[in-house]
Amino acid sequence: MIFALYSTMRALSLAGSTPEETLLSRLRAGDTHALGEVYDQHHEAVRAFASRLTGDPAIAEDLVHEVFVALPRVVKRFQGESTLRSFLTGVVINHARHHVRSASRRRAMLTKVGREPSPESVSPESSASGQAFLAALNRALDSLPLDQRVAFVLCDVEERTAGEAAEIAGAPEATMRTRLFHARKKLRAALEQEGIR
Amino acid sequence: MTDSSDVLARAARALREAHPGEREGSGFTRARIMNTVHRERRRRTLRWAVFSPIASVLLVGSAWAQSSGKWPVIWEAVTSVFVAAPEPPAAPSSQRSAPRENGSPRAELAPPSSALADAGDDSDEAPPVLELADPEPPRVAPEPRAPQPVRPRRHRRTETPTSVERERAEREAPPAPEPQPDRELSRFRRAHDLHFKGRAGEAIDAYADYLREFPDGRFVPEARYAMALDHIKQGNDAAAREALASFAAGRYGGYRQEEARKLLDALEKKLDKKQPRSP
Repeated sequence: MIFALYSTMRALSLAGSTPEETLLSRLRAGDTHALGEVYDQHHEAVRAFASRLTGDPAIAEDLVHEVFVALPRVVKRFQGESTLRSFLTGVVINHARHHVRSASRRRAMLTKVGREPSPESVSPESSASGQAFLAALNRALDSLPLDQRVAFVLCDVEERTAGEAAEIAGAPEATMRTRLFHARKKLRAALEQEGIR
Repeated sequence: MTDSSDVLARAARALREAHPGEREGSGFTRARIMNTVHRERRRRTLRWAVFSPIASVLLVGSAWAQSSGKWPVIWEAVTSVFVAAPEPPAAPSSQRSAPRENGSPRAELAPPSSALADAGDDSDEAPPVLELADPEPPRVAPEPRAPQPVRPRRHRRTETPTSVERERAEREAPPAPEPQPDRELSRFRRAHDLHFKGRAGEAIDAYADYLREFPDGRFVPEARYAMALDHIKQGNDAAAREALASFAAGRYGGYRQEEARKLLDALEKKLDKKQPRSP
């Protein structure tokens, strides 16, 4: 009886809202099916960003798992000022520190044991789209602080505006521009060190 | 676009192409997420299911105990389980030890040998007076607590009990036991008070009464020693020597043994001065 009344009231309150708002309301109410729906809608974007940020698909998968497990808890903070996808990207950034460090350590270890191509073997003409170039790029990205790495991935890789990137990262736009400037500068220098010009 | 920006553009494009977001394992990750969420929810529910009843029982039990007045009893029972019993007092040193029971009073007496020696010099004038340290009230064993009378059980009734019922309940209820005073202790305490007030004659009589009534009492060594001191005060050296001899001989262990020996020496010296030996 009480459950029926509650369901009716909820249905009435959700009657005039958009599908995303409805989904969010269900998510906030602890509906696990809603979580599944959110995953189905946004997992590709979240996974792509996580992979680009960490540079390691396996670790990115763990990050995606962590983000969606935490979503029912953190969604209560979401006030609807941006899209759910942007909010999820922000959650990825908040949970990324540990995973980026872990991926970076893993790459360093692989380089040490020689399973990844060494910098000397990288030639920009031959490997611009190859694995060696990616490996060198990831090593260069590992030399950046996380904030600058996030700025580079958001603005240059995902081609978002500085305003959008600032909103996602929860930082002022000017700060985001500064981070992007320093990120590009450092990345260029690092790539040069890797032998890529 | 410069070369360097070309490099960055190439880098960005490479990252975009290398990580498109589509992956074969996405279904597996979805299942893993749902599984984790369900597991966490189950764990939360289980936690509530376990801790809520425990908390409720504790809360209701406390409220009931408070309202029915049984809280002190329950509290005492609980604390007696968790709080360790107090350790027995440390054994006294060998010199002052005596076969006594716990809680027997102990008179703090100053070594009287010097006072006795001084008094012995002019023995013709006055009997030796022993200097006693500041009297400390005798420490006594805590009197046993009288058991609480059993209260008649309260019945839940809205009506007030009639006078007949009340009388019957009073008749049925066992009478509250009278508190038993410690007769031995009171006897000893009386004698001890007289001893510390300096009323030696009365103290001797009181100690004698005590020893007669309780020949194997808890405070026999203390009584005998104090009595000996009172005899010295009264100038009754023979009785004092007789009493102190048993202490010096170690009849009561090490209790007052050293002091008794010193006192006996002093009494001997005093006797020698009174009756100088013939050369």
